Amino acid sequence: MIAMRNDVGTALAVLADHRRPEAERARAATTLGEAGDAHAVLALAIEYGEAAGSLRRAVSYALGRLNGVEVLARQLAFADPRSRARAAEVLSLFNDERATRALTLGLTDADEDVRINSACALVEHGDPLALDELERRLETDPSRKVRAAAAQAVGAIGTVRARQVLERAARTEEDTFVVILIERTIQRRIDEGESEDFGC
Amino acid sequence: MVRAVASPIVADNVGYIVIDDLSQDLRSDLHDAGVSDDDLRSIAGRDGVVRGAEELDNLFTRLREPTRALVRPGRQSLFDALRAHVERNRQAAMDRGGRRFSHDPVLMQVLEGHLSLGPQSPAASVFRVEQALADIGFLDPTAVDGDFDDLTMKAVERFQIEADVPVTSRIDAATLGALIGAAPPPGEKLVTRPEYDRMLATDRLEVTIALGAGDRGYTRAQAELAVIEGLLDRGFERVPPRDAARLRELGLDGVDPHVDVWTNGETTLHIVMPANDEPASGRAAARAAERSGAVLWTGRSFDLAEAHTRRTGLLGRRAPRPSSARPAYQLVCVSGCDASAGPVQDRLLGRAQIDTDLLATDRGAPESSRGHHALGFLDAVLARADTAVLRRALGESSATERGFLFNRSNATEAHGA
Repeated sequence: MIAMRNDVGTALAVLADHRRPEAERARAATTLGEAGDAHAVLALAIEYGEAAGSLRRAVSYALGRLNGVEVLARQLAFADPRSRARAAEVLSLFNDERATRALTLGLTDADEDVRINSACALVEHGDPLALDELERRLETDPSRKVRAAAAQAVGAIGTVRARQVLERAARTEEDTFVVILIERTIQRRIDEGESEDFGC
Repeated sequence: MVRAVASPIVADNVGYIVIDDLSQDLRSDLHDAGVSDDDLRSIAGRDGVVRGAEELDNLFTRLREPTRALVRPGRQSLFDALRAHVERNRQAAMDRGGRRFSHDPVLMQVLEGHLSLGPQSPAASVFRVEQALADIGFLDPTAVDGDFDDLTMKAVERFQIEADVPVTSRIDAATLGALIGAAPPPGEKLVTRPEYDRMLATDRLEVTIALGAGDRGYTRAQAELAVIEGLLDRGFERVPPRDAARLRELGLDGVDPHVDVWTNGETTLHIVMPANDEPASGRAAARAAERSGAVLWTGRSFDLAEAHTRRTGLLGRRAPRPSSARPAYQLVCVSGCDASAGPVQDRLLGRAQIDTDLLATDRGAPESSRGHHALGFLDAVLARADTAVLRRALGESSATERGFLFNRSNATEAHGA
């Protein structure tokens, strides 16, 4: 068991060392996946965000072996506030339904940072699955940062209903910070030519 | 036409006349003698300073009424008045910047026109010139080493352009004379860096911040929240893109759709925040940063064409730009992951002649700054921090064609999230 922990520790160090050759780091990722230690998920997920080529494939394999999204989703639901907030950030990298559902639940967390990070992560997903809860956050959350982040996430969804939600919020929101985020989000969708969904 | 008499003024490259500093009496007398303000500006050239034998002789050649200039019953002659003016300036310059060089026999020979400094010149003399260039902001202080290398040569060239003396890439009599006039006394630095002085000399400073998508698990949305909250905390307000009247007040006729305009009344910010499609957004940010680069306004009467042909400089006006399509000044901060920040930086640095005075990126940084890098850049620029402070805030620096590149990936201090 101690030997296994040492292997995991060594592999984590190799994986995080960006000066090492990609092939060496890819072997470390594979080792972490096969070691079955869920503690490696966060480090693997971080590398997943920027890895390419053989390293990305190895990291994906390892996360699959470790059931990474489930591990992060559990962490988002049950860990301490700081770990929950970090799990929400990292789940932004996995654009699949399980991650979206976990992040949608994260929007209702008691901790403000967890709700902010969950909303920011959902910007990367743009999944209508989260729209109802995002709308609630936008209208009722006591934190202006959560409301602002929710506005961004609603904008990323890009449907007609999403736009209606934003326009309604723009009429009722009183906080300058949140209003700016709402206006920017609407404007950006128009500017970037992503208004097809908004318009149909 | 009456040929003017030869100049009775000792022209030693140190004495000079700053056109804008001329007293009203002296200016009126010059008008009476046939030298208009336009004549004066034409003689002074880009820097607005009449200096050196050639320019001073030109001034006297323009005197169409030399007799009237020489003989003024009951008053000091115009020549004597001009001579006294030049001598006062010469003495003041020698008492300030001149003290840096007056004990160096090599530099005194340079000032007299007997030799010039370049590669292989005596280290002690080169060191004194480098220190003066660093103290007025033309050379990174870390490059002050007595070695007349490429960095020194570029700094000399930049100074020669600013001072409107022939660009020889060497320290010659004209350049040293101008440096004596520009440098503060030994041991002192200019209170603010000339880069900032010239950028802030008119009414407005623009800063471009390109904030890209993040990696390593943080999100662009988080950075955007941090930057917008930080701008509000610093007293900036956003100018809605549809508020054409307000944008016109700021001198902005038509804003790139990727650009968000903010102002605090004195400083206008162009914020570029690309979307999630990283390669495409990187290209969009590069285009937007190029198009919306920081241009200095001359109040509300700002004339775009004029701004591209002359720039306010250390000693007056600056050299014409070869291309009228690009802005005169750019302060650019590119924040984001390699995929989005990289192309922006590459495009800005890859130009044949970079127009960016300060370029800061966090490309390749081991940890994301989540927007705080951009705010740190803004704070440093608004505080007119010197190179050493900028380096601490923004990472290691390297010289570019025009200014400095700061890259946080090499920073020794981590930035808090």
